[in-house]
Amino acid sequence: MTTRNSLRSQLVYSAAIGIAMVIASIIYILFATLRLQQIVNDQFRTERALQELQLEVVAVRTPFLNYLSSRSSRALSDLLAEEQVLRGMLPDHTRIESDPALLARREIYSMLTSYLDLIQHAIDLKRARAIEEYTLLYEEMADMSDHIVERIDRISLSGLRGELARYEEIIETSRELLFWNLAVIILAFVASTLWISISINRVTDPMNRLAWMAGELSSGNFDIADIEIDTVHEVGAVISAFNTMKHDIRQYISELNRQQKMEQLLKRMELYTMQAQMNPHFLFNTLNTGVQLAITENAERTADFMEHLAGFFRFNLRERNFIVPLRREIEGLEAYLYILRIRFPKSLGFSLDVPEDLLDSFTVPALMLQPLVENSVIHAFKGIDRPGKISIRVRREGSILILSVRDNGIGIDEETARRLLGPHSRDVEHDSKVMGLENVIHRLHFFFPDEPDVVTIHSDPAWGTEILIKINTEVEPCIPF
Amino acid sequence: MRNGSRILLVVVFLVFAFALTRSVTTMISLTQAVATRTGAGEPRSHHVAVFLPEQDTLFFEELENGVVAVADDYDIAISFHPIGPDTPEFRLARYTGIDGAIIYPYLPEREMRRQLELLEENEIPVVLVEQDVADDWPWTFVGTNNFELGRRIGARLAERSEHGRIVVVYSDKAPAVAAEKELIELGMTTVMGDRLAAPITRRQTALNPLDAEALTYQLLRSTSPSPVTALVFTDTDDTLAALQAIINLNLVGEVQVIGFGVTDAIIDYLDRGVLDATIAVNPQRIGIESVRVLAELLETGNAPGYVDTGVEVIRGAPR
Repeated sequence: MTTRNSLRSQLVYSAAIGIAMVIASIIYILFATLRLQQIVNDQFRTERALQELQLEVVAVRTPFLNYLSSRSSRALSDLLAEEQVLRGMLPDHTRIESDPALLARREIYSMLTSYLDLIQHAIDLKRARAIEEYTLLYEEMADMSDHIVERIDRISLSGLRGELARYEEIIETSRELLFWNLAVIILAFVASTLWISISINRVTDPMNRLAWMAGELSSGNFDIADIEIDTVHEVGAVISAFNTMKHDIRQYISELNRQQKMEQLLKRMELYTMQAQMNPHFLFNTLNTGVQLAITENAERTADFMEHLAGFFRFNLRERNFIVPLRREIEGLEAYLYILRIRFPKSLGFSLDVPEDLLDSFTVPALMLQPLVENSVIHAFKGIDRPGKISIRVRREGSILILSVRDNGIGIDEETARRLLGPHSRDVEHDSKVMGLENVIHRLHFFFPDEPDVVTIHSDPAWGTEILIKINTEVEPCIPF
Repeated sequence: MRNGSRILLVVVFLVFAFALTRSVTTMISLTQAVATRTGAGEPRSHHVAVFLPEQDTLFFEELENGVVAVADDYDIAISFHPIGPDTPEFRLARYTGIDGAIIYPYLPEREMRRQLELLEENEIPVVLVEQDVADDWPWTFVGTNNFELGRRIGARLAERSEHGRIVVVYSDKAPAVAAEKELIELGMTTVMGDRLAAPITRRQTALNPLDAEALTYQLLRSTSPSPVTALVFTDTDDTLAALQAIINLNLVGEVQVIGFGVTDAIIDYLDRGVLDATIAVNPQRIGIESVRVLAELLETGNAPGYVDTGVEVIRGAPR
């Protein structure tokens, strides 16, 4: 990029050219006006010069006569002075022109030169006391002087008449000249203003387009066309950088959208898959229980049982929301516990501790507690003769809602607990024995990706296992589309 | 928008250029007009003064035309001046810086000669036109040979069998002819000889162009000493005025009239037979020849002493 195309140079050149044009026009107008004055002045210059000449011709007569009369040195001095003045008014050389007026002037100048020479001759004659000669000479010179004066009058009058006749023509032409001069200065101003305006626009136009483009980008429209414009170096660099930035941002956002969509799609598929995985297990087991109950007990209990069973299925199968009120989650759990109490009337005891005020105040991911209880029922009491106990408790600590499922079973070994909580647990060969627990853990990590301790497992063979779910109520769960 | 501004700028600039051009051309034309008025033209090699009597006659007008017509050809600038007893211009001519003079001698012979000698002393060459002064004068003469003029008039008059009284009317309007009355009449007498029944009568008109009319009435009504049978005029205005009187007196064809000059009116009278003949001395040719001869004098210092511009008698339609 050349220096000539820089912003500073452009502004300086434009202003300089515009101002120079106006100044040049003003100088021309000044010159034209002065020339016009000179022309008008010259029009009568000849007549004025002839009048001055005539006055001087008359003026020289008196000292000439005084000298011839008195021969005084003072008279001679005056005469010589006047003679010098008159001689100084005569041109050194006059061309022979065909114009009659110029020829007449030439004759007058010649006669005056001769007249001045005759004065010198008369002085010489006076000094030589040649009285008769200088007297005759004076007489001839007097006639000559009169004739010169008379001819100057005639030429002057003739010239004046001619000039007056042409005066109107000159005034008319002068008027035309003034009109065109006015047009020149006005057009110079207009042209300069336009020139500077165009030069400024060359700088500001790209900036305006840049501002418009910035507005479009800020409103999320990255599909606008690039700015391509011939402008100064500095603005060109900004536009180029802006175009590049727009391209980069558009590409980056496009990539992000693509990744986000793929991720959400995967999550959704995963959730549906996990929710769908639970149903066959439970349905199978409860149906067996329902059959046994129908054999051994009367129809009233069976009906009660089936009612809870139906309620449970209804909650399980119809619930398509990922996040549900705590009350609904607990209601589903209670239906499930009812079924479990029927199923394990003596070997298992259940307790549910949920403060009433929390039920309608919080929401939780759906189907969290039931799989955990189911997991304890299935795995915690293997090989144990004592009565099992499963306690479900919900409490609040500050902004943290804590859901706890605790059993007094055999516990979970440390390796299994770490594997269940680890990031690659899904890649491991499925173990149906812990699948319900693993399902819950995964879902919680999906909903709260930024809360690594949302679920923890505390286990000891001496007292059993407690699974704690800590939901930060100030954090919105990440819900997939 | 931006293109529109550029187009507007180009248009404004074109109009600006047009206005500037018009302004400059107007300024130049104004300057040239003033320069023309101040006479800034091509200079001439010589300045020649032409001295003619202050008379507004066709003869001098045509003579001036002849001078002006060829002045450029010889690179001479011409100035016209009056000559006569009442004007000092000719007497001061030697002080005016002229290179030469064409002079119609219109001063008393002695004064004329003295002034011509003064011009000669100042080395100013001179050509005299139309009016010869004296045979011993050394200055070049361009004009009509008046003796020949008289011969031609006499030959025309002699074509008639017999004449009573012949009147020649001279005029102050044609001083060149008037100054050589004797020479003209000598020429006429030479040709007519015995056919002249009486001596030629002389009459003179003044500068008034109508003088001849009254004179003609007077001459034609008078029968003493004998009736006028022929009238010869030496000026165009006199000719025209006299012809009107002859028509009024119903004497067309009765009196032989020889006029002077070749104008449309004269030719018309010739065609109608009112005028018998007219003398054509061609003053324009006199002017042309005088310039040519003076130019020759200025360039070479030599010129012929006498240039005859000729004379012609044009006949009218027969009656």
